[in-house]
Amino acid sequence: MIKSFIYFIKLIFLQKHLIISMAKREVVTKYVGSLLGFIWTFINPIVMIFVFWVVFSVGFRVQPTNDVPFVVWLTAGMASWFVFSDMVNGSANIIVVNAHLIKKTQFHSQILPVVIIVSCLITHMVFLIVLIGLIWFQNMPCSLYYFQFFYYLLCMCVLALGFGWIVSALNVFIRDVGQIVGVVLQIGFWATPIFWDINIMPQKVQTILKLNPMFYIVQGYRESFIYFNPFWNHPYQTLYFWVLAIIIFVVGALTFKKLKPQFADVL
Amino acid sequence: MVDDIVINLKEITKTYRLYNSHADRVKETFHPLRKKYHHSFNALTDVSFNLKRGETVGIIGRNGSGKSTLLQIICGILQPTSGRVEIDGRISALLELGAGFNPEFTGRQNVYMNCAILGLTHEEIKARFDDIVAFAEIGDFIGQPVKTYSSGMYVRLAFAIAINVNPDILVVDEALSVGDTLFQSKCFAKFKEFQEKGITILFVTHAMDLITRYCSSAYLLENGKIHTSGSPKDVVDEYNRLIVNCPERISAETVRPVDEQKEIIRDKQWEGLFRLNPDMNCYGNGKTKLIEAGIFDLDGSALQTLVHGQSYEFRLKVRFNDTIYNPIIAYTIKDVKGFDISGTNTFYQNINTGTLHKDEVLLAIFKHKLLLNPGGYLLSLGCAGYENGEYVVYERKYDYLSFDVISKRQSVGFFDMGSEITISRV
Repeated sequence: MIKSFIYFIKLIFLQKHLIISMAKREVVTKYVGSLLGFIWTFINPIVMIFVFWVVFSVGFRVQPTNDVPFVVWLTAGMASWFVFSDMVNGSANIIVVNAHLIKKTQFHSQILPVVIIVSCLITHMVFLIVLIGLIWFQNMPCSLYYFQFFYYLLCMCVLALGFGWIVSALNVFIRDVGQIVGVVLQIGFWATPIFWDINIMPQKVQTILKLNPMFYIVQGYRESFIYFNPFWNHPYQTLYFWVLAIIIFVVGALTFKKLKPQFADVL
Repeated sequence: MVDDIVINLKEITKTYRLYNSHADRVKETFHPLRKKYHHSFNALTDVSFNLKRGETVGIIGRNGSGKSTLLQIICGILQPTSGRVEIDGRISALLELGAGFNPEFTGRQNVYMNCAILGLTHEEIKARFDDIVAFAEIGDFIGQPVKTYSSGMYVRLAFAIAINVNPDILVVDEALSVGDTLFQSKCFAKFKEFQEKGITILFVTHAMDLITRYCSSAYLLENGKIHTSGSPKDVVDEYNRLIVNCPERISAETVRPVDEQKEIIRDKQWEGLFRLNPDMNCYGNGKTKLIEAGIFDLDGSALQTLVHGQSYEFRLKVRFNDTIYNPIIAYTIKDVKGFDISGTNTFYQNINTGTLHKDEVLLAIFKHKLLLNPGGYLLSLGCAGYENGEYVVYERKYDYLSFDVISKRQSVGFFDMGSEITISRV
C-alpha cells in the first residue's frame, strides 16, 4: 500500500521530461496559430495591472495601504491567487480533455495535474516579472526577500496538486465538479484578503479567515515582495498550513489512485 | 512461469458495471457499507492464454466480441475485474492511430511528444527520429502541422513511431488496413523482421488473409469468450461460419463426401454444409429454381476456405418449372467491395444444355484451379436463356455464399498467375 503510494509519487519524477514537454505544449496550444504568440502571455497581465492602476490609483484615488501603493499591494496578492485558481481550474478538466491518451495509450494519468501546474508556472513567472517591473516603476525598495516567494510557490504547488488530483479525478465521474470548482474559486477570491486588508476585520473574524490556507500564501507573497518579512515569523501559521496541505495532498493522491483504474471505463 | 512466455493471461474477466448515472459510481466507490448501485455486463469471461516470445498471434471476432477490450487489458489501460495479467517486456501499442497526436502541432513535435509518452528519453528519440521519418515516408511534411496530413500520412507516421520504439511486444488494433498496399507490405516486412528478432506480435484484424499469412496461431473471440483457438486456418474457418450464424458446426474432418446417386441428387442434400449469405439478392421470373449450390474439393468435401492453387468445383442444381430450351448456367465471383473478379457460363463456353422439361433437375459442375489471391469473395449464381431472341433471366442469386482464399504466396492484385521466376546473368 505504502509502496505503491510512493511509486505513484515517484512516477512524477521519473516522467519529468514528459511533464515538461507536455507543459510547454499546454502553453503553446493557447497561442498556436496566433500572430503574437507567446507575447500574449505578457500582454494580458500588463493590461490588467494597467487597468487596476488607472481605476484605483488614478480614478478612485485609493489611499496607499500601509504606505504601499494600492495597485502594487493588490497585484502582489492577486498574482498568487490567479495562479492557484488557474492550477485548480485547469486540473478539473485535464483528464477529460486527454481522454484519448488515457483510453488509447499506456499513460500515467497522475502526471496530468502536474502538467497543468508546471504550465501555469510558466505564465506565472511572466506575471511576476510584470509585478517586479511595477514595483521598480513605483520606486519601491528591492531586497533578497524577493526569493522567499519560491518557498510560498512551493507551498502553493503542494496544495494545488492535492486539490488538482481530487477535482480532476472526481470530474471524470461527475462532470459538475468542474462547474463547482469555478464557483468555489470565485467565492474563494473574495473570501481571501486579496482586494481588502484583513486588518479591517474584527480580531475574531480574522482568526477564522486565517484558517483559509490561501491566506498564508497571499500574505506570504506580499511579505516577500513588499514587507520583507520572513515566513518563520509565523510559526503557528506555517505549521497549520503544512499539516493541512499535506493532508490535502495525501487525500488527493489517494483519491486519484483509487479512481484511476476506472477512468478508461468511463471516459 | 516458463521463461519464454511473455504474455500470460489467467481467467481474465472484465465486467462493466453499468450505472444509471456517473454519480452512482462514485457513491459506490466510497460507500462505507459497499452498497451496490450497478448492474453488470461481461465484456470478457474467463479468457486465458499464453503467448510465447516471438509468436505472432491474431485475434478475430465479430464487432463487440471483446477484441479491443482484451488488447486494452493486455496494455494495462483497462483493469480486469478478475484474473491475472502477466506481461514480460515493453509493450508498444497501436490501438488507435495517432492517439497522442495534436493536429495543430508539426509532425516533428508530435513525434517527440508521442515517443515521450511511450517512455523514451529525449536522446533516444533524437537517435530514432530519422528512422521514423524515413519509415513514414512523409519527407518535408514533417515540419508541417499534422492537420494538413492525409489520412495515409497520419497512419504512416503513427505506425512508424510505434515500431521504432524497440518494443518487446507489439500490439496492433486494426490499424494496418488504412495504409496503401505498398505501405502495408512495408509494415509486414517489418513484422517479419520483428518475428525474426523474437518480438511478440499481437494483432486484431478483419482481414482474414493477414491472419492466415502471418500468424502462427489465432484466437476467435465470441461474446467475450475464446470460442476457438489454434491454427489460423481453422480459426478463420470457424469465424466465417460464425459470421453467417450457422448453428451446425462442421469441421473439415466430419464433412461427408457427396453422394452422387441419382435418387437423392434431385433434393436438397448439402443443407448445413455451407453457410449461405442471409442477405443474398434473388430475382428472376421463376421458371427455374436453384435447389442448392456449393463448393467442393476434388475429394468431394464441402469447403468455404479455399487454398490458392488447388482445384475446386462449384456445383449447382437447378430444377426447371417449365420447358426451357438451352438454358445458360452462370457463376460470378465478386470481391467484398462488389467488384466482379471472374465468372463464366455455359453460353460462353459453347456448351449446349439441351431442352429441359418441367421437374427435370440439372447438375452443373464448374471445375477449375483457383488462382485468386487471398481474401474474401462472394459467389453469385444464375440461370438465364434466350426466348424468341430476347435475353430472359430465370433466376439469379447474387452473393449466394461467401468463401475465403488463403495462400502461402504473396502477389499483388486480384489473382496470381503462378509466375515461376528464373534469373540468369547474361
